Amino acid sequence: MDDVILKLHGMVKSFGSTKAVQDVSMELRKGQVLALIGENGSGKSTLMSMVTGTLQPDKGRMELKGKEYVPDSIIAAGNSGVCILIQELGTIDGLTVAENIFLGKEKRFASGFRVSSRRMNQAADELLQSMGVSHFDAKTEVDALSFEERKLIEVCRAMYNDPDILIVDETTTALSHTGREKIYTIIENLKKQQKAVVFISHDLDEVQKVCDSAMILRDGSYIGTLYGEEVTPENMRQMMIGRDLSGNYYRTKGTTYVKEEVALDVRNIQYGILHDVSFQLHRGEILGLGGLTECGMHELCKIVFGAIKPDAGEVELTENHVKITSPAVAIKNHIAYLPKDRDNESLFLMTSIKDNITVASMDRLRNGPFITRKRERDLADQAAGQLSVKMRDVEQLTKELSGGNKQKVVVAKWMANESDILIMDCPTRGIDIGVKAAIYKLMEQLISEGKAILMVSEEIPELLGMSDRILIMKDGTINGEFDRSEEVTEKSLIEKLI
Amino acid sequence: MKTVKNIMAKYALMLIVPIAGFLVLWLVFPKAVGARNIPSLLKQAIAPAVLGWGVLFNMKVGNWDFSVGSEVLISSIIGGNLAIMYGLGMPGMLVLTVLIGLMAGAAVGLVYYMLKIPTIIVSIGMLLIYESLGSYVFGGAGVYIPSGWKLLGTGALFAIAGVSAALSYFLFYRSGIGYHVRAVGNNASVAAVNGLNVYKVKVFSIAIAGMFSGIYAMVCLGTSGVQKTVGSMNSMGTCFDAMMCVFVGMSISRRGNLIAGIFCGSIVMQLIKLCLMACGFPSEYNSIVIAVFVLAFMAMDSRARASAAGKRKSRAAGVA
Repeated sequence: MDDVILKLHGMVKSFGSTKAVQDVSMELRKGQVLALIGENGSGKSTLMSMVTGTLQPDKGRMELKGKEYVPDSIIAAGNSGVCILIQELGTIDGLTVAENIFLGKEKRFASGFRVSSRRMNQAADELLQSMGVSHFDAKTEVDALSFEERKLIEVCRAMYNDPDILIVDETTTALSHTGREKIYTIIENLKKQQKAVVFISHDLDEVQKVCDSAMILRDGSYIGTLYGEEVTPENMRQMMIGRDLSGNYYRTKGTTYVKEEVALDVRNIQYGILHDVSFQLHRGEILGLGGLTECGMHELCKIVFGAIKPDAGEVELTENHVKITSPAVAIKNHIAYLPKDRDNESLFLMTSIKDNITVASMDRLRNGPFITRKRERDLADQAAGQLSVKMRDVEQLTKELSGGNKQKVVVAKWMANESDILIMDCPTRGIDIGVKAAIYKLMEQLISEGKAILMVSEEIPELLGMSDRILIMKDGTINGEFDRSEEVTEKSLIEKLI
Repeated sequence: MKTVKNIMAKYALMLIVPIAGFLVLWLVFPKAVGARNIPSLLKQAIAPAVLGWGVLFNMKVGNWDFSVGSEVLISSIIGGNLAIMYGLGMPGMLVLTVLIGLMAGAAVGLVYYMLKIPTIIVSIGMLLIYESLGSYVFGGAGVYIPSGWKLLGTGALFAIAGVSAALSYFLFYRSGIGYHVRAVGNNASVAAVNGLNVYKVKVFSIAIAGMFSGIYAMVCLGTSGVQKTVGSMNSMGTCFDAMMCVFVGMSISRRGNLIAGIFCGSIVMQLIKLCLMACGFPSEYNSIVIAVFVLAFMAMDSRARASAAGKRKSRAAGVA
């Protein structure tokens, strides 16, 4: 019993009528790497929010190293040895690496009012060295660093507390292979030091690789725990969904709806890292665009939608020869864009589902200068219903939805606008396999109706499983093109990708 | 070599803009502008820069504090009159104006902290209270300091500017509160997740701006010798002068030292006034021209920053 670090007893948390966590108990032992898995909305993040003090439980109690544990903030949790790495970016522009690492802890380097930047930089450099980071130093301003490098700073911040428990909350989703490997090494080291790790991820293969046990939640309730050899994607999937998904939810091989007609012509785009990028998107086609996180593919999506003005090149709708120069032009011509960062770039979290769905369809709803509430509500109801968004009603605040359901709202918005061309940047990022399957099914339905989809993905199986054609980008240029075929394998894509 | 290059990159623009501006004026108006204007230009740039060094804290954390001008007003009137009443002389007046400015700023901050409503509303409310207070205390006569106290010659003025700049630099770049101000200013939500009390940081920023209002009050009293009462929100204009210096300073300092940038920004604002004078522009149009200049400057700067951010991002992507 002595090796139990954290014990949760009968944890309960509700938001209004929604029971997010229902009577969940858990034990975490020294040296254990426990995966916490479940569909979006299963209660994983809520449970961990209670452990890190960002939410207070309605019922239940926690014990840390045998003592009552009641954290009232993420700082209190950190001081007790419970640290968390979050999915989104947690560093601050305009500050140096050292200032970011020691944010909120600068008193350790203060004498009187004065904070010694020399001592702070020295400590940060030592920490960076111990983490094997050598290509930037403590004085570097974080603005100059890539997403992955900035994630490493967050890791350094967490490790500085010498945590007994590290919670990795979908952090790896946004990282490349190299970035993920660094996190795995840290987890391995913590395990060797008899510390514990709670690992949250939707990537079941990754869970199998990293974790020695997996606890499954469904609809806020505890379902079971798998140990050792039992931790397989099939077992986990079965317990998460409660039904057999038979492994394959991608498109059936051999089916194609691709037409000769070109929907969108992208010519000679130059912007930042992007160099002379050209391609054509056909009606009825899913064109997959893959590459490492920062190869320029995400910027390319924004350019195609008109959200970024390229230094050179153009995007043209072939049907009417309209040049896409702004999002307003794109929306008017029924082009949809689902950004990678949906919370910040796609949704108004503090407004209703209805407002989010109808925002791109105001022209359709307008009757002269008036918009009737009924028409607005009907459109939102219809689009949300089509996508089976799990909600109380369309007046519910969007921020209260799980990640997968938020993504459904984004898709519903563009469905309501009757979009013909969809630019989907990582459409299944951070969402569970149930919603993933629904989105894949919808994508296939859309192309069968003659619509065209440009899909950016950082997951190779998704590219292979869904695309009619795949473009692989490397350092801002198209480095390879593959047609849908049995002969195209993960290996052939990776060869062009790295 | 790399260090020299870094310093050049950080400070080049902030030096080039005022120097080039002055040279252009000299070339275009050789009769009205010359080397003889330099000392007075620098001297006139001091007061707005002093207030700007305080307003910087507010602007960085996103406070819209329009009460700064009214804090100047009451620190001058109360501090000046108390110093006269007790015969404390110039040093005593300095201490009192700074202290009253700090207290007035802290009071605005506390009201904001307690009510938790936007700073723009709180500051306008407090501005009205302070303006009324200024018209009520000491018989509503404002303050006229004895002529012997008007000792602020160029040397003393530059000394006060130097101390104010050093104080602002220390608070902004070297103290814990400055560290928090920069963190909250750049990303309040991440700062909060890391344990910073965002409200507290905003309150401290308002109080610091109040303290610099006191120094500014002292500089103004020391040079003009008088502070009349003001009403109908007329004190608000004072903070706009300082805000413009900060806007321009932020633009030209880029990644360099903001304190030096604000002083250079203040010189740029004085150059514009000099230009208007040389052109024979009626003074009542000064504000319009200055406002148009600042808007144009900010628009150009915003585009330049967006382009630089894009390049930085590309560079970062290249590294990865």
